[in-house]
Amino acid sequence: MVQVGTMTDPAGRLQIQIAASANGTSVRLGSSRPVAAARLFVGRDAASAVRLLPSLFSVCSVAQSSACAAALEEAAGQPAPHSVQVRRVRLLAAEALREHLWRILLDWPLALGEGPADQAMRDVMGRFGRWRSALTQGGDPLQPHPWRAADEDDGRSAASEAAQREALEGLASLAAAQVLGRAPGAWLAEVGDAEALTAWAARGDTLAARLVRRLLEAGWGGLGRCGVPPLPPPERAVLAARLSGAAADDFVGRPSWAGQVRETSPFTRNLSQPLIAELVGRFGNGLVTRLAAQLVEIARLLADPDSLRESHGMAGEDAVGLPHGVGMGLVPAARGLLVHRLALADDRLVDYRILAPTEWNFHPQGVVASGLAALVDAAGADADWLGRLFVIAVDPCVPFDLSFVG
Amino acid sequence: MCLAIPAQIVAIDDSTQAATVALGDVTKIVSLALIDDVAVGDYVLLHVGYALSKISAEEAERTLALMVEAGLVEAAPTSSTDGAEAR
Repeated sequence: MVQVGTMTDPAGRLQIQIAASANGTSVRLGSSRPVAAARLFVGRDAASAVRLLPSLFSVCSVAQSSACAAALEEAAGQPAPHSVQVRRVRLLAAEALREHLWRILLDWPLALGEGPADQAMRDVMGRFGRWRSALTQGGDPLQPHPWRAADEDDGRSAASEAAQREALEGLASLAAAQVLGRAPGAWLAEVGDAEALTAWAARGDTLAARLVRRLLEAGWGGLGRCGVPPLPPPERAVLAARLSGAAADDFVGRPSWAGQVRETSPFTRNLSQPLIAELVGRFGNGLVTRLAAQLVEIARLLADPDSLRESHGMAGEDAVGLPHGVGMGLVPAARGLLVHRLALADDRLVDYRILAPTEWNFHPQGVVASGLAALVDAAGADADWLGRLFVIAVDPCVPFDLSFVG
Repeated sequence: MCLAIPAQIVAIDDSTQAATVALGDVTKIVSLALIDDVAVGDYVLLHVGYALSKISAEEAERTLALMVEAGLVEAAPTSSTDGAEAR
């Protein structure tokens, strides 16, 4: 067994310090996240990277494996067949649902002084596992196409379809009972604007409805509103260039786009949904808009998991040819856009970079830093729990410490 | 990049559904509310205060070796051959 010495926290932590002064509130954001861990794959062959990746990144392993597969396929000039890409999107949807439901069931209750819904989350994990098994029957779609066994089918059997449907229906019933108060499709049809959200929150007895009600009644809907813009669909050639060379280390640690900090999240990818568009007019990118975006996303993914394909990064039509042996995979991960860029020479990886959504959203000048400063100025005595809820609403993939100093 | 860290269960408190887990010199308390059938000595993946899933000792070893190689955790200064001791 490998002997491990002194451990800090290898997954990394976020340190968020809030300081009030005569000049206003400032937020200092530090991260110990291992943003250069992808270097580990440099020098290995492609098959080893594919094998090792899910062990290392086991929380978001679907998104990581999917981005890796897409990048290797581009580098090899052999895109995956449509049926494989469909199953990848469904796996990504399943993982995003599991991660969002984790926050909603385990962390949102803490804001109201209630305990986490552990039993419901256990059910989510079990149903996620069954959905994933159904999607990987007959061959794992996360294997990059050029490295797959030739005899694998595409998992399109009737048994696989039935098992997928059953797992999805189970998750939809659970979300209806525990979160939305009605079937996902019915919730989307009913809660289409701010007024309908207010009515749903007023009548609902799920934790999510009660939390939104509390925030709306207290006039806290726009808390944490700030001007950090969404990350636009990135131009592939520009993105690929920024992910190579010496400056790439800085870029993956503190990314910006066109000279500005940006956000990529469930909120930014649901901006065109009617409810979110209207809430932005009322509350900007504040607290209730963010929580509502997460509810909209789970409802959409449960009603139609394939809708995740509409999120930028999956289309591929803008694929600009990268140099031979270079590939880039962009996928809508639970918390925002995830990008892998790699370079292959004689089947050995000579470069590998990963750009994850938490680095955009928890940039020292990003949406959490700006939003929290605004929230603290407005929230007064409630700044601590509302600040924590705001961080949870943006959703880092690692633990965080929030403290008030000075 | 959501790393999940493998750690070994060293004690279980059934009354609170919590376990003490060890990785390197550090022990911490995590919730067992999301998984079944774990016992002292098992390896589990941790994520923000919860044990996420049970993994085999071999898988834990492979993942920890990767993490040591990536510089995410420090290797112990002396080596031992006892697989059960990851202290």
